[in-house]
Amino acid sequence: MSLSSRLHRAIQNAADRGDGSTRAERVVLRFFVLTSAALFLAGLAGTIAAGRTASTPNLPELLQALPSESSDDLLLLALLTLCATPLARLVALTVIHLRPGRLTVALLAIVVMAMLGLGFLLGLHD
Amino acid sequence: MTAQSFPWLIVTGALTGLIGSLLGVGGGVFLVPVLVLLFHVPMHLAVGTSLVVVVTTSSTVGALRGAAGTPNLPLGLVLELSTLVGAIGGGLVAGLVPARALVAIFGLILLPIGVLMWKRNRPAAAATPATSGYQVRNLPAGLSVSFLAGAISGLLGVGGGIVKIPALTLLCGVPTKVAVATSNFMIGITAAASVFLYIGRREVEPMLTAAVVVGVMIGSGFGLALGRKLEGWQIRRVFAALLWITATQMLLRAGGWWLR
Repeated sequence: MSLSSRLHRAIQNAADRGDGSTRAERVVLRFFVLTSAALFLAGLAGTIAAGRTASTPNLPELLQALPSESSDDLLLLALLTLCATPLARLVALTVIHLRPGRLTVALLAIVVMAMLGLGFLLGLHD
Repeated sequence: MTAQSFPWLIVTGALTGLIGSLLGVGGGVFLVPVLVLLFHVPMHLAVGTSLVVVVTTSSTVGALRGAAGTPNLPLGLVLELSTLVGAIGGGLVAGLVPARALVAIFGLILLPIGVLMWKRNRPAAAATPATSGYQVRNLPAGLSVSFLAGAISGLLGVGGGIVKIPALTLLCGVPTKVAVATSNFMIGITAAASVFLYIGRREVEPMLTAAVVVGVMIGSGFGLALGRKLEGWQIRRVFAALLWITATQMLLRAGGWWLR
């Protein structure tokens, strides 16, 4: 079966069944959204209370914020967590679809993740 | 950015989240003009902030919508292949375009988006109840429109849902409810790809983004609850009229005729 036929079949199967988001996918989304919200609130409150303004980072500086606990860096960590949410969703989708053997959907999710990675790498070197 | 601006930025974010979740779009078409025209945020920073907001709207709605969300995930993933190429291209081109030109392009793009918003989902179309058993057709056309939506998203910081939803319903034969959920799934991934390019150019300001994002998370929750009680097509028509006014203001700003 050609790649095009496989894709069409995967799409049509989902259309026939009316598949939607799974509970596991929503749990992952909730975790990332709530974590980034808490970090944004803590970072915003800390930075305003200290009377400072956070610097505008580039991507390497954003990654360096990972081990830190200052309020400025909490904002950067929040930003990173939020921007990583779609990636986490794709990882969850891959795992969810690998288990029942829906390889086409899992592979599609991996290819989309690779393209997200390309965006990240281009940002790193911009 | 002063400390006095923050409550207003949170309110702006809440309104963006409310509108985004009510209309099934990312909210960038509302947020970017407000940041540029009212808060005098530089255009590229406004676009970068808006992309983070699109990720927020998509993720929050996806997390809260529950079982009512019925995206066609394989379709969304296939269309993302061309959308992401457009989004990364748009994000790279945005770094080369002067701010005033970007404001003018945004104003011009808002005009047809207003028309799409006005025409979309009139009562007869909204009555389509099916979320399964439909035939997906015209995938190559869907891929082409998705590329365009991705390029607009990467260039202007909008989700592109307003382009994707009509394409999914009219070209690909997807029911409206599924199209809205599939578009919401896609816009977060699309925006995430180009937001890294904006961060790389120092065009995402953390405090501005934090204030807006906190508001968006609150507004999206209210929007989902309110959406069950309001007539969607009436809201869309009011919003379409607002878009045309905003487009005019953006074009005036680009021409240097904006009066403060």
